[in-house]
Amino acid sequence: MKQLKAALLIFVGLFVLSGCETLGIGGASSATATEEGGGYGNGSGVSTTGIEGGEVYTGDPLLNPASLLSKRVIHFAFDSSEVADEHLPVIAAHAAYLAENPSKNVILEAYADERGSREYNVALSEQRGNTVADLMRLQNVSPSQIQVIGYGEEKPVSFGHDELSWEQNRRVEIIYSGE
Amino acid sequence: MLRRLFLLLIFLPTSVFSAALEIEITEGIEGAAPIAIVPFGWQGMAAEAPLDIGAVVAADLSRSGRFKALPERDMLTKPTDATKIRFRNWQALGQDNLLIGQVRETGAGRFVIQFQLFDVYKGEQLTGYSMPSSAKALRQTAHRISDIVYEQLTGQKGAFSTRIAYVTVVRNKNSQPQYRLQVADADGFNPQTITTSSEPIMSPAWSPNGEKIAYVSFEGRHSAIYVQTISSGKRERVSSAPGINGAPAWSPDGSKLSMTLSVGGSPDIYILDLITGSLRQLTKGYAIETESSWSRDGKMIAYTSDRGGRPQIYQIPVQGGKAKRLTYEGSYNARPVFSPDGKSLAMIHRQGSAYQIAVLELDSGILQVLTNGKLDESPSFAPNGSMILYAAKKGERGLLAAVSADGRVHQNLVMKGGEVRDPAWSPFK
Amino acid sequence: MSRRIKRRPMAEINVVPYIDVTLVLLIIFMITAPLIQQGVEVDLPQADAKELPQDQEPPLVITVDASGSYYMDVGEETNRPVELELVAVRVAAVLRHKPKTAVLIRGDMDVDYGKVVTVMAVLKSAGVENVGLMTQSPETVQ
Repeated sequence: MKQLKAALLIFVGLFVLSGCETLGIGGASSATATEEGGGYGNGSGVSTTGIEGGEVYTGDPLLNPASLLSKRVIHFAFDSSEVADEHLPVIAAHAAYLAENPSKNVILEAYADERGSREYNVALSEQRGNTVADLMRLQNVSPSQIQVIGYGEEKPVSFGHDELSWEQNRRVEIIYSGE
Repeated sequence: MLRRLFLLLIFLPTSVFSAALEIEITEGIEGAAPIAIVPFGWQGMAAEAPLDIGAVVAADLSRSGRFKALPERDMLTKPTDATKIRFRNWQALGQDNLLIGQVRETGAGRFVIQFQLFDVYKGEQLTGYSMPSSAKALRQTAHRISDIVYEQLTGQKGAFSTRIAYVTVVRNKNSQPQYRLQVADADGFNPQTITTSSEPIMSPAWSPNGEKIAYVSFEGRHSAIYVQTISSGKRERVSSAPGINGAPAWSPDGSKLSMTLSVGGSPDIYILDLITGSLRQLTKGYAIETESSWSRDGKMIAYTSDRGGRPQIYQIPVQGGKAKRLTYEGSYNARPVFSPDGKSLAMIHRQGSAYQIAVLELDSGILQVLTNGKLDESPSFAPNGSMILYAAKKGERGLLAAVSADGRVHQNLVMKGGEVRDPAWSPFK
Repeated sequence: MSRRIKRRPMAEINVVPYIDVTLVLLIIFMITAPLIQQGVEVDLPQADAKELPQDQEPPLVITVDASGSYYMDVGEETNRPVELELVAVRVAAVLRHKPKTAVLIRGDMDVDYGKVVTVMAVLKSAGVENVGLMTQSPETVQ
């Protein structure tokens, strides 16, 4: 079950990476298509085994499907802006990358699930984004590299009205500028 | 930090997107007063009148939940002239009141609409008017007749000639979603798009004179508050501070706009003076403070705050001071909005796992839940306080719904082929 | 509002035959001036019957004159004959809004028996449960 969830996370992450909001729609770049295959190949185990099998990945680390940097979505509990321990390594990996590459910038797009009022959800989602931003700043990322935007319950990735959908929609997406 | 700039001319009203809202009354016909509205007579060049005025009035009055219009097929006679009325015909059908009228063409595109309202049992006229109208204004004239009849029979001002604003979202495969801010008549007819964007539009709020709408737009991937003049389509960006620019609310005199900004670190309520451009922070602290609403006398602001751990409603003097908590029932109360008479607040209240519209009576502290949805939000009062318009979700779609302030009458406003939300009922003209 | 008049024992209803099990007949006579002012003159049959209570809602009256034409006390002009179909439509409309309205047949004593039966059948199909026949009390006839 947990493995399935991890796989789902990667899956969602990949779609976000491709910049495509609706699942399963064309328009993804060819690079993304390759990653998708890789993501599936490695599925639950985030081992270092590349798609080619054993070779060391030499491309952009942001695009390395085996790297924690390929994970771009942080999920949250209901009405909470606390980051769960399981997501800390992902944030740390991005923070390290940003600290090493001061020319790179990220937008943290923060979201809430559909329950409750829209404007309160905007505020709640921004707090989620700020929590992630604060964790990154603590790891020496310059504040000028990070921009937070709280969308509230807008732009859901899942349209159902159930806990499974809400869980996916309560999120912060890490988006590198230029992507 | 806060600039008043960019007088932008944007999208003029387009009729490309003309999907009207359809209204279905879902509950609460019982107890409604029976009224017979005879199809209006017609004297003009064409074979029939350009608009069935009687049908518009009948739909308006039925929608209020206070009246039940007699179906045309059940009418024993259809008089259009007072001399032809036999009250026995309406008594036999158990009708309390009778409305008859005529539309006369007085020139090219010019009409005179005359109507009379009767008490069926006393057999006497209650009111009657003769009103000139252009062809374009016929629907408006019909709504005015509804207002007059409603006020005559209930003693309360009618809100049928007001308008509603709302946001629609159309999601197409292979393309970005389209967000549209629309304004329509209170019965959902005549929808006009006043702003279109591929990024979210939120929280429309009418100025007290009904001429402008303030709203939040995320265009350019950044939230900002705009004030747009409805007739001209011209708009002004009044706030684009770093972070949140949200939840605009007009002061009763229209000179100020309260809003939520997070430029100070956490979301707080600020008051922008629209004349001087000065900005004042009203709430402080680390909690989320948002969704402000002005009391009718303009002295108090109610808002949502999670300073106690969960969102609850608080009230603070506009001049600043101590905040007072207003809601104690339940673990989630948000998005307060004052009723037009200032005596109560509508809000979102969680009951179990459902988010519903509730009304808090300020004097007694009694909270009454009015709706029975799972995900109801964005309550907005009709200017006469009789109904509350809100957004609900049904299946995959978002729709608008309305409930009478006493919770008795329920209706849905369904838009075909899209999602509709964030409703705001205009003030009286 | 409970205007349900009990049927009298069989022995007393000797003027009108029993038509249908569900069609309950009420025999009513008029003592004072007719309830209904309509320009159609009919000679009502004489019978000793129960009086219609005066305090209730006015009943719907269908008149059948000596020539067999139908008239109603509702509609535009009550002294003009109406088609039987229209009678059915109007009666059904009234009953939709006031289901307890009494429906009376005011038939001329010389009218065809068949004509009255036809109206009764039409009324039954329009949903009328109780049909009353208007008569004149023998004492009032000089």
